[in-house]
Amino acid sequence: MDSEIVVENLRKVYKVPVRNHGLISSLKSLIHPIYNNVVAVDGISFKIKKSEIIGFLGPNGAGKTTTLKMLAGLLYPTSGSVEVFGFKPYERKSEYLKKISMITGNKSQLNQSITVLDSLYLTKEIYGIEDKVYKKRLDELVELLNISELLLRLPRNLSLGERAKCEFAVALLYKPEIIYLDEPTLGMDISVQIKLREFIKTYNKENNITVILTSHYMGDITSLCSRVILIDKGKLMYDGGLMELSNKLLPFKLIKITFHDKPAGFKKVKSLLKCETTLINEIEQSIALRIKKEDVSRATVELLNNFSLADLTIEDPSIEAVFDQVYREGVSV
Amino acid sequence: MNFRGGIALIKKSLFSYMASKGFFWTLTLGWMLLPLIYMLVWIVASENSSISGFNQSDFISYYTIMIFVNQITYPISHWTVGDSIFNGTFATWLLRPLPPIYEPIAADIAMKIACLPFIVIFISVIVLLFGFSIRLTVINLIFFILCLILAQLLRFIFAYTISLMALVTNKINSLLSVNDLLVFLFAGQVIPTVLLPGFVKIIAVFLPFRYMLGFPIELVTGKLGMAMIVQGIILQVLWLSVVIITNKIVWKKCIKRYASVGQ
Repeated sequence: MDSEIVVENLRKVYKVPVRNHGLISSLKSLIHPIYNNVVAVDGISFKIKKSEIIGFLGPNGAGKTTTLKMLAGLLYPTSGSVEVFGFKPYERKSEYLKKISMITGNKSQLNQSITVLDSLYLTKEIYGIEDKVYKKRLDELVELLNISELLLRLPRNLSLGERAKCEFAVALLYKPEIIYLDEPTLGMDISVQIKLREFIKTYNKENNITVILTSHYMGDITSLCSRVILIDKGKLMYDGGLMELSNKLLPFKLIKITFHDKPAGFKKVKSLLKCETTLINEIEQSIALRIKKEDVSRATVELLNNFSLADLTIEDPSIEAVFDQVYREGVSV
Repeated sequence: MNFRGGIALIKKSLFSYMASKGFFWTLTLGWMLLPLIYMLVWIVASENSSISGFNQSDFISYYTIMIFVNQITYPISHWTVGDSIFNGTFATWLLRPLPPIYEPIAADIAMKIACLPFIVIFISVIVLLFGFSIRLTVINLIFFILCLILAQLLRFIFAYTISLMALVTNKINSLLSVNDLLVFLFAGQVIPTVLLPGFVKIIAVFLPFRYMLGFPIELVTGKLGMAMIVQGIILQVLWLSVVIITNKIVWKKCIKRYASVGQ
């Protein structure tokens, strides 16, 4: 399958004014302003195929949103090339803009002074949707997002979750082929997050649209993205499956054991297992251990044979732990 | 050209103004009061004798027409475009399949429609209080309509071009204030341009500001001969061409440096 999005050596440098503290520096900056070059995106390359759901990950200031904005056509790249459906996004040709949509969690795209229905009508007219098609799509989206009661209200009178659903209705009305989501569930409660994720998943499946999202909520990433692109300090650190990333970065599992009677101490457990074992915590009857993946099966047998256990569980490390490690230590994968 | 989109944007702006009509009508009242104040000052000043050919009746006609022309040509969008760039709304305009200039054009047209009843009432009251008389010929009326359209285009694109500077600097409001001040001085607001003294008049004749406001009023009130009308229209078209070319250059340069802040 051909790639819809092709990015090669993409780079974006911002020119940022700087000045020292104090009145003299302020006066100097009036005559001779000083600028620093901040490299937001530093030569990244990747390809994305149709109907993929891709997660852009990275700590704050990594360059995710800047990359997304260059893909959408909001920003000009400093160098490198970006092509989406063969278009250069920054040229913002009508044909291209009709194929994409962008939703940002920190900035509502709805006009706050007109009703949701008026916003939908405005989108219909701008995108030249015929009346019959509009009615059909509106009915579909209203049902799918359950927003019939919100249509006649002003966005400023809606809750965050209600407004997000209306944003999706407006953004999808003209059936874009790619949707860019920049932290779409920002600030929402868990119930709304789950509903929106379900909606994105269903919509992607039924309409074969490509979804590219940035998010700091691991729930968004784990439930939606089969592939992640990890960016840090503007550089591409990883491009691949989420589980592979987890396996590469944290080759451990967590074993939690609960003793029936008097608990054996960590020292005794460690001496029995004879492998690299790290204590995570020890609470009353329970001990949580971190053990290398290749030692897990042998350690489990030893534990079951030598202790009277009420419970034993084996868990993968949380995805948050994986990214915490990447963000803190900047591990190159 | 996306007419459907443009008309929908005008409707959207109208709905938006209706939701805060009090604010917009107060704003309009502010714009209309200034010419009224100038008119009262000049009525008093010309009480005993005419000033360079302008008598009381001329000043009343000049400033009554100015209230109308100022409303038609005043570009509210030059303030709102800068705000939209700072607060991130501009990014929404960029993502639509129509040029971003549609939004300020629609906002301006909608504003003029929303304020029209108010202007009609306001001018009617002034006419009732002070009277109004001009000797209007068909030729003058045709030239007036032409110059009014050119003035509107010139004033709008000039201000829009300045507001686009917000793509690269956050010092835009001071620039817009300077623009308003120059219009105040040289466009015939505080004093009709033909009454300006010596070299100031020469400067005013060659700067673009007179052609944004004062020139159509001088024309329709019969204060200009045919040679001056033709010269004025040539300068108006010339300035409009310069401003359009500058707008294209500014857009091309500034959009490349746009950082999409606030989005």
